[in-house]
Amino acid sequence: MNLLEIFSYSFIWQAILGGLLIAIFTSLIGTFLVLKRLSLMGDSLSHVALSGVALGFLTKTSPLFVALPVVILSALGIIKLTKNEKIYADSALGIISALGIALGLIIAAVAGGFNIDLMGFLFGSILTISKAEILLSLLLVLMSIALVFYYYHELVAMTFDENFAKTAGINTDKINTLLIIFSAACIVIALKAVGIMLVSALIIVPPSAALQIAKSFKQTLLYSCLFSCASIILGIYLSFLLNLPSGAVIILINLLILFIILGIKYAFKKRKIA
Amino acid sequence: MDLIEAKNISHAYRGQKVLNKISFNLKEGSWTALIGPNGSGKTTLIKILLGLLPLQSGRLTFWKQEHFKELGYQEQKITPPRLMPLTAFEVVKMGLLSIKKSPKIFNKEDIKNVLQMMRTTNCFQYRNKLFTELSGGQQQRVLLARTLVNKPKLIILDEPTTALDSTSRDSFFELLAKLNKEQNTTILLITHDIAEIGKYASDFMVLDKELIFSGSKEEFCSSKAVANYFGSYTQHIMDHLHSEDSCPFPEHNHTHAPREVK
Repeated sequence: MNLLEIFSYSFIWQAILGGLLIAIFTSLIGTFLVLKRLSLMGDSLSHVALSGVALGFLTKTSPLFVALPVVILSALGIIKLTKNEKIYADSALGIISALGIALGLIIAAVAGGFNIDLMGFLFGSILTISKAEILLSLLLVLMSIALVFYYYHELVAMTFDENFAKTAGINTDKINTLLIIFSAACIVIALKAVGIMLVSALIIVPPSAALQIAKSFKQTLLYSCLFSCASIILGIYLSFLLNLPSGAVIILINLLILFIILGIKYAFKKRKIA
Repeated sequence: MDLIEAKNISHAYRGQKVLNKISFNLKEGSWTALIGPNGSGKTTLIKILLGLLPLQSGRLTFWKQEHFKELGYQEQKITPPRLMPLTAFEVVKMGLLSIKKSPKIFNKEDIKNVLQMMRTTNCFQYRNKLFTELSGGQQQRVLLARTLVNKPKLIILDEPTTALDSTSRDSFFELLAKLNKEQNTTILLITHDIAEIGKYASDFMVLDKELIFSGSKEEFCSSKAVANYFGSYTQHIMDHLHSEDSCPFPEHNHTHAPREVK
């Protein structure tokens, strides 16, 4: 097969478009989650997404559209559990995560077990992204860009020093809730690209790589988007060419970018000391 | 005019009372030193005033509803994310957020004010360095610039000079004194450094879960409650408050709250 032939398929372009939207969404939200030490939130909510997806199969409705409210409600549940430190944040994430997996496995069993469609959500199947899912991703990307643009300075201040942000009159509860709702939506949408098993990596790895080299917050957001978009395009291309699972290839490319940056940084540091 | 009026404020953590019926007024233009040993509830009281902790009981009245626009607050130490890519300049700029409406857009005048405040607080030279890469003392200067850049009417400081060397500490207090005198800025400062603050404060509050004393420096010097509380250390403190240049404690430049002196 000609190396460029895959771009003649319309479903490839559809996958690239959907993937890029997902990449932008996860990078924007992921940067704040990583800096706020909420990376594990992605892991927990992805497990909850299993329940939502299974529920979708059980009720024979679009799994993503069912998973979206389920994961958002769970995210709000985590906020409620951790409010006033009734339960430690990591414990609350563990509790919600366990609940998500347990319920997901039971609902999946009732819905007819782990069929090929459910496996697609476990490990990602960007090539099968539908037009409705692309439209949903587009809507969420536009909303997340609006959120970050409108509350950019508030989000940065809250990430840097939440006490200061509160005393400056910023409604931190409202903005934190919005951020968590968008994180939940982000996780559900990203399931299509990399699956439940790897979705948290798509949220954590590109911002972590960007933070190694960025000299400003805006640069971090930009680099994170660039790394994530590059991994999606390259991941789709290589997985199709080599007949490998797309989700795994996308995440491995992201990790490769991170390790290369860390390696270069280490080498520079050593040279500086020498 | 009173900027803050606090009546019977009490607070408990898991049933353990840390503040018991605290009442005081914070007068406009005053410089109040809030002193007391560790665990006496100073930071808790300040956090309640700032809305960082809920008001469990009592009443708190501010001079106006949107008082946060004219409020400056500096903690002893902040712990931002280690990889946070924010320069010192951007941190100081954050101080203007309270007076901007969302979406918050900064104009040329704002940038000018930020740079001017960085010059005033002596942190202009590292404006483009990442905040997390600065030393503790440099960070405190940047945070002071952030606190002052919105020209606050009331400044609340929680042990703001712990990481500063003596020269920086002197210029820090001189700057606050200038603001207090020239712009009638009200200051509420938590400190253990009675030796230093005696030169500047007009009022004192002594807190040890209960309010031991609240009043002017003169009243502080003649208060029986203060004398009873500080016991044998009272004379040292009083001597020091009257003689600004010398420290009453041998071999030390700075005194501490008495219960910590061994």
